[in-house]
Amino acid sequence: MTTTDGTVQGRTQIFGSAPPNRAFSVVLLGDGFTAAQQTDFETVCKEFVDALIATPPYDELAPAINIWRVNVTSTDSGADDPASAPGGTGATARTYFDSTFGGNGIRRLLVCNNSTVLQTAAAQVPEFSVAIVVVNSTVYGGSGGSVGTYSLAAGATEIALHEIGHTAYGLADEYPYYAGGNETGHDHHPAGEPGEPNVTLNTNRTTLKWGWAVAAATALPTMSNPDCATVDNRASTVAAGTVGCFEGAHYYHCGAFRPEHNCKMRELSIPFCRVCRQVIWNRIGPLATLPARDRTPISVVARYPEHLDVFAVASDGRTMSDWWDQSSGWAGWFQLSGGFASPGGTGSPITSVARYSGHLDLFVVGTDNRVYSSWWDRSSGWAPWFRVGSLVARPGSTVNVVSRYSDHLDLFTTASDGRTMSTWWDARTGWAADWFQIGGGVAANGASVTAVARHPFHLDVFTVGTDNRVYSAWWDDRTGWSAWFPLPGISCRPDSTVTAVARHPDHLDLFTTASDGKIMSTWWDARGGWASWFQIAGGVASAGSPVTAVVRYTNHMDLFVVGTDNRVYSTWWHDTTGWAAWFNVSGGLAKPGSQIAALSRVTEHLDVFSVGTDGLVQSTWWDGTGGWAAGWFRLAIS
Amino acid sequence: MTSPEQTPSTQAVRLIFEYEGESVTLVAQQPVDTVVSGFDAHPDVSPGHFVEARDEDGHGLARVAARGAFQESAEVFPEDHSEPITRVDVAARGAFTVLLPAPPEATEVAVVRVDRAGSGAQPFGGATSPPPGAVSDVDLATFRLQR
Ligand SMILES: [Zn+2]
Repeated sequence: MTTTDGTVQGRTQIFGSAPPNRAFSVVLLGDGFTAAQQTDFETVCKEFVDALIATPPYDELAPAINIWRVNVTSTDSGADDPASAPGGTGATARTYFDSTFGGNGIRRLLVCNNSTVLQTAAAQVPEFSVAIVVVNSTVYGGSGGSVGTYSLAAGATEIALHEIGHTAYGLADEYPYYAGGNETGHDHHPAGEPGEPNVTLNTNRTTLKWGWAVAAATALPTMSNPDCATVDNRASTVAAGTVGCFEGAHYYHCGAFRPEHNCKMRELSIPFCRVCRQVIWNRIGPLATLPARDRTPISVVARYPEHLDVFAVASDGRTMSDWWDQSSGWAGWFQLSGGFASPGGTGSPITSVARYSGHLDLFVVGTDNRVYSSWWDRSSGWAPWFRVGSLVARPGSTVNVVSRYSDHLDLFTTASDGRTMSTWWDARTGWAADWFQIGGGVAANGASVTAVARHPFHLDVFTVGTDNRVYSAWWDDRTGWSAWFPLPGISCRPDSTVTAVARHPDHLDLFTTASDGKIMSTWWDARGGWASWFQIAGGVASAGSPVTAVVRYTNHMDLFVVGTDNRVYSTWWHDTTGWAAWFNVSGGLAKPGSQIAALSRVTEHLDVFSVGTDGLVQSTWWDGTGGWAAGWFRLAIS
Repeated sequence: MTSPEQTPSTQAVRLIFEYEGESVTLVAQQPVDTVVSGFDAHPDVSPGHFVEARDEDGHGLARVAARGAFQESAEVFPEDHSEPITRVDVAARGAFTVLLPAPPEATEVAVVRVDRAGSGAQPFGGATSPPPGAVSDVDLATFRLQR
């Protein structure tokens, strides 16, 4: 009963056309099929393909899925069926993977030599994601773990779909019993939130890990088990497909909740619930590029020099992220906690800040035009989106964030009526009571409120007023907020962004675009006050494109903008040489009116991001030793 | 300086382990030309079993979940799907595999068990702070990478 009982014939791709090195790859291996029975195996494989691809969300993810069969001949047909398990016939079969019914004395528990299966799969399809063994027997059986097995009995394909849920995505079992429901010791789930994404002990709407999928009108918990001594077998009291908190999950009658009344992780032949579908999306979807909202501003953070977190809004409004680590490459785009960003204007962007290297805070205006925040912490992963205060923001507005020091955040945005608004969070006191208006200010339609902290107890804020002039205000911890005052000399587009950087604590540089598109700058210095506006090197921006500024040294700045010809342009300023001429960055083109994101994670390096003319997020870089890269690459997975 | 886009996509390694209880051996390793998504190689620290690539100094470079490993129960499926799926206790013995990002500086891999200390019951806070409860890593075994 070893690998001498058969031969590996080879592999055949039976579904998919994804690049092998960026695919979700399923390998089906046959056991107990003799050389003469290989066509039977191939027929079963076709049935598996049809079943998988018809199962949402795999139907939508098919372009990233490859399925292979590995033909293996066995000396004998079938599998061992020991008589020691009730119902077993006592049959034996010499097969390559040693498949046997009757694991643990239970006939339906069909197991095989997992190590041989994994080594065979790796030899045939090195990049495989999951391996499934199809056993040539009409006796019903299967099992999971690192290898899924199933037999030819009717409906056994469903076992494989359930087991892939565990093996490929780490989904939990949603059934509320361990041994069928009559067991003892499974009345109440023990303390400790399960790490899996599809079961929880928490029914708090604002902190529920699948809160994004729960309608406001759905009660939480949605169904409670009236008798924890047994399983709640009642039919659903809400419409099919309702996402909420249904008590009874993760092997316990009470205390643990599942997202829908039923799901394939609870019962075979049932569709995956909304939450499980999303998890599967976030495993396979990142293999693709991201069609982004045309003018979505991209946010990039380097939590430490060898790591980048990138945030963008998809063309359908989903809040997306991708990250790069020097050790593992690009992670692929995934949706952040089920979020959607407000359309309107350029569409609300995700803004981000890293208060320290193991933490990220994100902000966005949702489709209900409320401000939402989420955070990632190295110790706990992604938190659900939660609402920040009661503010109704202008549709599509930007929430700008400044962290003056690591225990503090200041937020800035515009209300639905244009009022310039702020709120804050502090580690000692939590969130402020609510948003407040800064200095009685009202911003022009589409303008954002930008801010910079020259030192930890001072803020300078900027916006475009309803008269299309640039305005500024400031806050100091000794004197509080000032009134808004104009920085006269130019008339802006109403939706212009005023970009501000502080090269040192006594100096500010401002960049914006005038109503005729001219790229304008001014500066403030503690000794000389405000300078006059001037045009930078004759530059003119694509209508609506903001100016991005990066300070690499106190005496050096790099600017990025989309030009009127939709090319990506850059210039730099150096204290000894002044402003350079604008030049096209690596031949790049971007969407009209879009933003260029740029940051310097080390001083002799720049990473630059934009939405390309094909609507995909793209990137390029500059390095002090090699200069600008030859071209742009599409941001996905690597 | 390594640039994000210069990262070659041929630096994953396929590892196959056999285990009995928490005793684990590496039975196969091979380089694989494939990406490893952030879904698998996420930097969050959460309870469970992981395989970690480390450099010469033992510094962790990337880790992926070891799903289906060290299982102490097996699922038994009903022929009639409306009947319950059940679990039975089994001896923790078998094999598992991972695809692990292995950058050039990776010299060894560790099989790690991450335990949640304290109560993990605390739900996510509404404010920008992590839940309490530190995690602790236990190395079950380390193996040299063939490079
Ligand atoms: Zn589910």
